[in-house]
Amino acid sequence: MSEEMTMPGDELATSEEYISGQGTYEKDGIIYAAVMGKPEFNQDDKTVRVVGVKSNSVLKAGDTVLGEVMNVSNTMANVVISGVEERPGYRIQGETGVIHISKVTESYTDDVRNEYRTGDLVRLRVIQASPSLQLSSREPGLGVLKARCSRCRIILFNRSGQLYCADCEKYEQRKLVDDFGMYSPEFRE
Amino acid sequence: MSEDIVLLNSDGLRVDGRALDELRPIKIEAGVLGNADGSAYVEWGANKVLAAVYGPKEAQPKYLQDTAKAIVQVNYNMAAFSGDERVRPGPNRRATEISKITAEALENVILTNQFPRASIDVYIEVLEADAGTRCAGLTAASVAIADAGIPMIGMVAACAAGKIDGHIALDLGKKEDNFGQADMPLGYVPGTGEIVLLQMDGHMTMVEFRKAMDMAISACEQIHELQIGALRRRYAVNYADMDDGGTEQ
Repeated sequence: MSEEMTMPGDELATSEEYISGQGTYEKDGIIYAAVMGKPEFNQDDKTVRVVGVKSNSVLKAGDTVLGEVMNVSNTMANVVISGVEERPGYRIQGETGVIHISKVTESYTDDVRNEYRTGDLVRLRVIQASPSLQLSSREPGLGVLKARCSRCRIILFNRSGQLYCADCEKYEQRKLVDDFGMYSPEFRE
Repeated sequence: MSEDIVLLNSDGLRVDGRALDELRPIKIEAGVLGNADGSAYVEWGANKVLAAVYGPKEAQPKYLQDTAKAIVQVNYNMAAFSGDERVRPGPNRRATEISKITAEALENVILTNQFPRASIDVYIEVLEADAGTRCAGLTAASVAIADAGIPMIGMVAACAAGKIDGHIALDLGKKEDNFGQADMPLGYVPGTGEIVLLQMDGHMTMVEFRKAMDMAISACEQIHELQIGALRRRYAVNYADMDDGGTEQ
């Protein structure tokens, strides 16, 4: 425990050094902490964020959330949350959640990359809101709402349970929502 | 003013034995309530103030919602038993004013644009009043908001300065407030140097005003340290646990 707990208003870095992430704000070229917590300096993407000792998330376990898949590994996918389905028009900023391989489908999943790809628009269930946001799609109504071809990025359509790209004449697989294609998510900004 | 009331004795000490630039003893505690998202308790001389924060949550009724940012709603209330005479319960002119100025002060420091359509509700309960409750209330509310984990530019510290028997004095007590010549509460953000609340009643010259402001600002810096100390004490254990947790994604 080398670093002290940050307090709102504590100086963390300059904007030449880092990008201001969650729990921080930038003013006049300096990045400050906005919440009490632990500062984390990520050297890979050069962001600094503060993990709060208290979460102020408006999300609760059981909420159905809409979001976009940010990146996918073989065991988990990171999702940026943009809204809660039960509360249309309610916008959420900067919250990211994780979906683990065990929570992707009702049956066995070998690799998360077979079910989710970066850029997919998804509907997921919050199963844990704090300390970290954990998501699940182990229900028929949850999964991918809209997906793009991983090669040419045009929007895929459903052809007998599989997603088909008309340009590449190629099939792709996803964990689809049961009402896929019936619903076009209205993401407000 | 009244000739027979002496607020400052020949040694330069005030009715409660303080020097002119001395604060009353202040005790701050963070996270005292279980149900609220954030809370704080402040004892400031004989003042006892409790602040609680709920939110950010969806603003109700819906017409209050701002599509660009969260709204801050403050409810300042004095308990019936807070004064030496019974205080009539319910909102009055004074409580409405203090609620409004406190909300405006807090709006300046909370990063409201991160929570569009949301509302942040702050409740300030004055359990015992002895002059300076708006400052104690704002100080407590800032700690409660930080305690709730709501992102903010920095905490507001508030303190009054005024004029008694022709001298500028810090943090007026009840007698000094009633029989002094001026009282000036000030809310200050030590991190940015911004003043988010400034009121005055009574009369001061420009020079006196300047002196009172400098006095109040340096007191706010002291109070800010107490606010930080309260939060550190409350969350030292939680913070230590965060490190033990090991891998974080």
